[in-house]
Order: sequence, then C-alpha cells, then structure tokens
Amino acid sequence: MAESSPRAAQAAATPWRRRLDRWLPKFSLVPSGLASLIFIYGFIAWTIWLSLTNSSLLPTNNFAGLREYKVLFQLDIWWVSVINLAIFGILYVAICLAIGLFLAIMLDQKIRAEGWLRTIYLYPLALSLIVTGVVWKWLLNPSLGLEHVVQSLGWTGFSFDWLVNPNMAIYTVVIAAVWQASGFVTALFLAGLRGIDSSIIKAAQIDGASLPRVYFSIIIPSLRPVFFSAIILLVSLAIKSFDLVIALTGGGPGYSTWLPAIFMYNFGFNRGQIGLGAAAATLMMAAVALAMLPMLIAELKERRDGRTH
Amino acid sequence: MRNQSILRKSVTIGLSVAAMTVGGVALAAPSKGSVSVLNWWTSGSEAKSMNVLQQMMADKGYKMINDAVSGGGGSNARTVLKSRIQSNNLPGAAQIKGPEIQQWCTTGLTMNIDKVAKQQNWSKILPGPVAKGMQCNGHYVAVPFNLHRINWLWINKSVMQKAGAQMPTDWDSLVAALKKLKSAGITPIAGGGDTWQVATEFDAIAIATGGADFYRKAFVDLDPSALSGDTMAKVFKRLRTIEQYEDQNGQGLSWNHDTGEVVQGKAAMQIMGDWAKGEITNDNATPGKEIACMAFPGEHNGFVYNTDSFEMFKSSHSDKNAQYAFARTALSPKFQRKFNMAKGSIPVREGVSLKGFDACAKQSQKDFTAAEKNNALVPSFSQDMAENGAVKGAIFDVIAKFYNDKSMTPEAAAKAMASQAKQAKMMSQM
Repeated sequence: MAESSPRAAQAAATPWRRRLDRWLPKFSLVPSGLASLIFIYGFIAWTIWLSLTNSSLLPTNNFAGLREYKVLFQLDIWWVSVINLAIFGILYVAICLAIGLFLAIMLDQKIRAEGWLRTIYLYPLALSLIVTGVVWKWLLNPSLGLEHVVQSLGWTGFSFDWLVNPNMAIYTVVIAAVWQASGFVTALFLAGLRGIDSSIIKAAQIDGASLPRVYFSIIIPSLRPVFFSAIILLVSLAIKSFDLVIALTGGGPGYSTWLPAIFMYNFGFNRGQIGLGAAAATLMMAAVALAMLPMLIAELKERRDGRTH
Repeated sequence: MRNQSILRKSVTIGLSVAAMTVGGVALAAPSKGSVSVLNWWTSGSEAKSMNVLQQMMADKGYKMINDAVSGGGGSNARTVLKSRIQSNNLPGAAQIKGPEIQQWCTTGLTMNIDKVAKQQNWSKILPGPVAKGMQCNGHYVAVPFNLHRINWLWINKSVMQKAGAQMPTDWDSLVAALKKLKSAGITPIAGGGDTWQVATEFDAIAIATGGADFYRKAFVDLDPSALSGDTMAKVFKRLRTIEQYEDQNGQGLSWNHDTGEVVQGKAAMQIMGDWAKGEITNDNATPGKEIACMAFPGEHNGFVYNTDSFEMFKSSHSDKNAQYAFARTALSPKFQRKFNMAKGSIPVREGVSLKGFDACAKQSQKDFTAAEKNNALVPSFSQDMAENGAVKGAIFDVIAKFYNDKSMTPEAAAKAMASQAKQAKMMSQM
C-alpha cells in the first residue's frame, strides 16, 4: 500500500483521464477480438460439432458420436491422403530449408549482382500456386514436356514419367512446391544472416576460427528464430496444400496424390458428406496443433529462460 | 471551376451507366416477374443457350436472371446453392440432377410444378424413367432439359483405314482393331487418367457387357451380388484391356484434348458422351462422317442417359409465375431444338423434329426409342444420374484404384465396389 500510494494519489487527481487511458486500448481491441472469437474459434467449434453429427447434404444437429471418425479410419482414400501428407510435408520442409539456407549463405558472400539474383529467386513466390501447378504439369507431362524434349534431343532411353506414375506422382508435387517456396525461405534466411552482429564473427575470426567453423558454431545456431518461423510457415502451408495439387495432378492418377485438404473439400462439398469432411478438417487442425505445440512450448520456454539470465 | 467540371463529368458517366442499365432492362420489360436460375453452364455454347432461354422468356414478359457459377461439373455451383440456402437467399431454380433431386426434396424446400406438368402433359411427352426422375413423392419438382447418351465410341475412320483395322461390331473385333492400331504405332484409345473419364468408360463397358438388367441391379439398386459378381469382374477385366490400349501419358489431360487427338488422327478412338460432338465440329470435322459414332460394342445394346435438369425452390425471391414460365419455356419444342442442337444432346420431350441435327443425334434418337421399348434405358452412374454423390464417389474410388493399381484383380475390385458402395449408402441415408 505504501508503495502504490503516490500512484493512487495521481489517479485520484485525474480519475477519468486515467481510466480512459487504461481502457481505451482494450476497447479498441474488442471488435477485432470478437471477430476472431466468432469467425475463427466459433467456426472451429462448429466444425468439431459437425464432425460429431451425421450431416450429409446440409449441416444438421443430429448427434452421432464418433461414427464419422470410425468411417474415416476405414477409408483407404483417407490413409492415402495422410501418407501423402507425411511424404510431402517432410520432404517439402526439409528440402526448402536446405535449399533456402544454402542459397542464403551463397548470396551472403558479398557477390556481385545480388539484386538481380534476389529478383530471380523471389520470382516464383510472385506466381500463384495454380500457375505453378499448371506450368509444372506441362513441363512434367511425358509426352509434351521434359521427357519428350530430352528424347527428341537424342537420348531416347531417357524416362521421367513421375507425373503419370501413381507411385511417384506425389514427388512431382514436392518438386513444384519446393520450386515455389524455397526462394521465400532464402529471403527469410538472408534477412536473418544480415541481422547477425558482425563483431561476434570478427572476434571469432581473430581467434582463428575457419569459415565453416564460424558458420556451424556461430551463424547457423543464431539463425534459430528464423528456422522456427520458417518451419512454422512451411508446415502450415504443407497441411493446407490444396490448389497446387489440384492444378498439377488433379489429385491423380486416380487418387494417388490426394492430401487431407482435398479429401475434406471433396467429401464435404462435392460428395455431400459434410460430417466426414468436418471430421477430416478437425484432424487436420489437430495435426497442425500437434506439430506446433512442442515447438511453441520450447520456444516460449527458451525466451523465459533468456529473460531470467 | 475545376470541381464543377469533375461534377459534370461524373454526372455524364453516371447517366451513361444508367442508360446502359436501362438498355439492358428494356430487353426484359414489361416484366411479369423474375426468376433467378443458378447453373454451371458457362462454356460458349452453353452460355449461348441460356441466353436464348433468357430471350424467349423476355419475349413473354418474364425476366430470367442467369446466375452462372463456373467450375467443372458444378461442384462450385453446388457449394453456392448450399450457402444461399443457409443465408435464406434461395434461387428460383437450380441445376440439380439425378437422385440429388429427391435428396433435396427431403429438405422440404422444393416447389411443386404439377401445374405446368399438367398443362404440357409431361407424363405423355417425357420418357418414363426421366419423368420419374423429375418427381418427388409423386409431384413434379424439376424440369429436364436434354438427353445425353454416355455409351458412345467415337472413331476416326481414316486412321482405322491407315492401320488396316476393321470397324468393330462386338468386343472381340474391338480388341482385334485395338491390336492392329497399336502395332501400327497409333494410340488406339485417347483418354484415361481423370477418374470421371475412366468411370465414363466403365459406364459404357458395363452396359455392353452386362446389359440393362445387370446395370440397373448394380448401379441403381446397389444389389451386392450384382456389384461383386462375375459379370462385374468381367467388366473390370475389360476395363483393364481398354487401359492397356490407352495413352499411358494421358493423366491430367482434359477430355476435349483427347477428342482433339482423335480428330487430328493422333489417336483412333475415344469413349465419351455425346458432348464430344461439340469439340469434333469445332475442329472442322463432322460427327458421323469423318468421325464415326457407335454405341460401345459388346453383347448388349442399351442407352445410358444423362439428363440435365433444374429443380424449383419455393420461398425464394423469385416469382412463382416466372418459375412456371421457366419450366414451360424449357420444354417448349422451339427451345428444345435450339438448345439440344447446340449442346450435342437430343430433345428430352417427344414430338420434336430432328431436322438439321447431325447423323449421330439421329442415331441417338433411334437407339433411344428402341431402348425405351426394350426396357434398355438406364441412368448413367458416372454422370450422377443413378446414385447420390457419396455412393458415386465410393464407386469412383474403386474404379480409380483398379485403373491405377495393376496388381489389383478384377474380382477384388468387384468385391471392394460392393462393400464401399454399401458403406457410402448407409452413411448418406442416416
């Protein structure tokens, strides 16, 4: 009480002004807070509820327990989608990080024409995923694109038919997605690299550390927050991937390149099985949460620890 | 001064915009009421046909609002319809086909149009199965526009000659021709890849192999013994044969690309519904002349049909009289001729002259009449005519899996079809 008494006295002097100062920022946040409460969390809750009903053509409120989930787990096409997401997600994130980091380090060597190069590697990001998909669809089609061109150049034994091969088609999605996103990851890493205090590096060099040593022991570890945001971005992009697959393979051959997002759209809207679609959506959200939570916790813990030092 | 000139300019622009709008409305005035029509007919000839309908209604004083939503096969339009229902903004009529007509009827939102049906005597002028498909609990709720035939085989005659192949008459002669074409270095069949295209092929093979009774038992009644039996296994076996003669790199190429391949002579045949005719004429060939048309050959004759239709909704913002007029005009002989000539289908109502239609349409009409007499008229499962979306999707999944997984046996595929169709049926009925 003794500590806060001067502050209280001040508040008493201009009570209205004080109170307004304290509440105005909070009031101004209310509309957007309400909006996100309804349109994000409200609809998440509604989707979870729908996944527990037997909604078919239109949403209904007939509770059906976990029936939709049971059916979902029996469907071959759901498991194909999940396995595809695992293959696609892991390769996409790993390759994007590797290429992004490599290109960023190369670009950081104070080379000439960096502005030019930056335009080139950022360019794919400016294209929509639909365009990327269509372009790669023609490039990878065996009778029109790469295979045809190489064969007509004389290498008649050359074969690259992943796009039409049900076992390999998911990897063509990885190729196109990596092409699209790795430039963006490069930009993230480059920004991170530029933000590192050069005096630390100079100090290490004075101590006689070699360049690879400097990178592995100082620079890459200090890019940790960049890794964190890049992975979060890429994982969520991977889980909600939809348009690229639609444009590139149409989900085919057959349903061999389906991803959970395509499953959700197709069952929910085209096939009139809203309950199943909602169950798929709920599981997708759970997957995002599961992927993010450990990382978020680790990151927050790290920050709190950092503050106490 | 400057402000004044800006004002004057904006007034002029405003007036000219208003004038243009008035010009547009003048076409429809005097208005006896309006009807909004939700559809997915956005391609050139289809949009033109809708304009014809709009004009014909305007001539009688009704305003038709063409709410076209683009997107293949109508999946976007379906989503729009659902969201409009949720927000209580129902269209007067929406493009809905097959068993979905009955599915929507159970929501209690559909409108009874028995009055128009009586006036035009629909029970007489419409083919039995089609008329039945437009009803719900004994009342007409939807209006049919056309009749497409699914089980067609399109053949480039000159390519066949070049390869020394005979025109097929039954399954064995078809396989012999395919062999000859392949050894001559020509792609025997354009197509494959897209699941709906494969399903369309399966549709044609199924009626040619098993006949109408088998087809109905399997795809309309979902009889487990028909779905998993020997005949179905035979249909799958034949699909495997067809697959082996198809363009192995065809994945992801659209059906009209494939039709183009046939017209240009890069491929010899295509199994596709009669909307392929539009592409054939676009490429300066004549259906029935350079490109022969025949029912897909096999042991049985039959007619697998696909009917586009519009279901009417009550408590929409449309006027009832305009909704009636829409249904009436759609089935008028004049519109039926104009519309179906452009779309490649045949008139759904009887007593419409086929003068000016191409040879394949005339063949279609002849086969249709014969099929109706012999009870060999069946609704196409691949075009949403026999089953609802859930069951159709389940059948498609099995066909796609079999087509792409060369190790799957026809027997296993037939068994999977029976169990998955049953499950989907159960799910969508509850």
